[in-house]
Amino acid sequence: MNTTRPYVRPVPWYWWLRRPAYVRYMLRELTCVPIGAWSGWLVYGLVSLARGPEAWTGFTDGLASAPGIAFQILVLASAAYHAVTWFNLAPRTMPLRLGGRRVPAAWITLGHYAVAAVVALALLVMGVV
Amino acid sequence: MARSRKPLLWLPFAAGGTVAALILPGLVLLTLLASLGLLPADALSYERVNAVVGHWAGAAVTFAVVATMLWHAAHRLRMTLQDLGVRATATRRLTARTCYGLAAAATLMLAAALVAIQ
Repeated sequence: MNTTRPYVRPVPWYWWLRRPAYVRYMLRELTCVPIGAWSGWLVYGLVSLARGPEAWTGFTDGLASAPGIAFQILVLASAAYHAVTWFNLAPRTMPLRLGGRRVPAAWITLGHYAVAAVVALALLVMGVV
Repeated sequence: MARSRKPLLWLPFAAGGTVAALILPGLVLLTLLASLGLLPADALSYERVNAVVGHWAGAAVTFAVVATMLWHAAHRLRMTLQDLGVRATATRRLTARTCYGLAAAATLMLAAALVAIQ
């Protein structure tokens, strides 16, 4: 049995307030809270859709209410911040080689932005046409 | 050599993070603009959404998008709680079970709803 008890220096929970870079890190990590809540909300929406037109209208009325709109603005801001940080890290997390050459980091990041823009446009077109 | 279970968690985390970055901004923009009345009134109508999600391909894409985002959020929340000081074995186990348990429950409800819509 391992009886050694290594010393663990106590760290206060607000350690990330010390430096702007740590604050940005914590903000990035905390985008998962609105994103997770929104994903759960979408599941509720799909359950409403399965229940029928009235339940679905109840769901979209909730989206159009003042708290619903405030929540969606928060989710949009979180998703945008998450996307920016994710795309900036993409060249390091998903390095790409084409024809034996490294694809420049800026291309990988810009490629992600382009895909996100095309997806947003396609979704908006689906809602309009 | 001891095998780590981490890759099993990393795959949905990375997939969900990519999905949330590529698709979520456009998706929320769509629902937000529709909620504000800035899109045609039937943008999110029952018939329209039902036609997309009621098709097996639309249901498959919806499942992939929502489920990976759920697991991405669950994993990141668990890691962030550790960053915020949840270090004792018992509380770490509790937060892991809560985060992944909620994601698993939501995934099952999602699958049931999508099957019911077909």
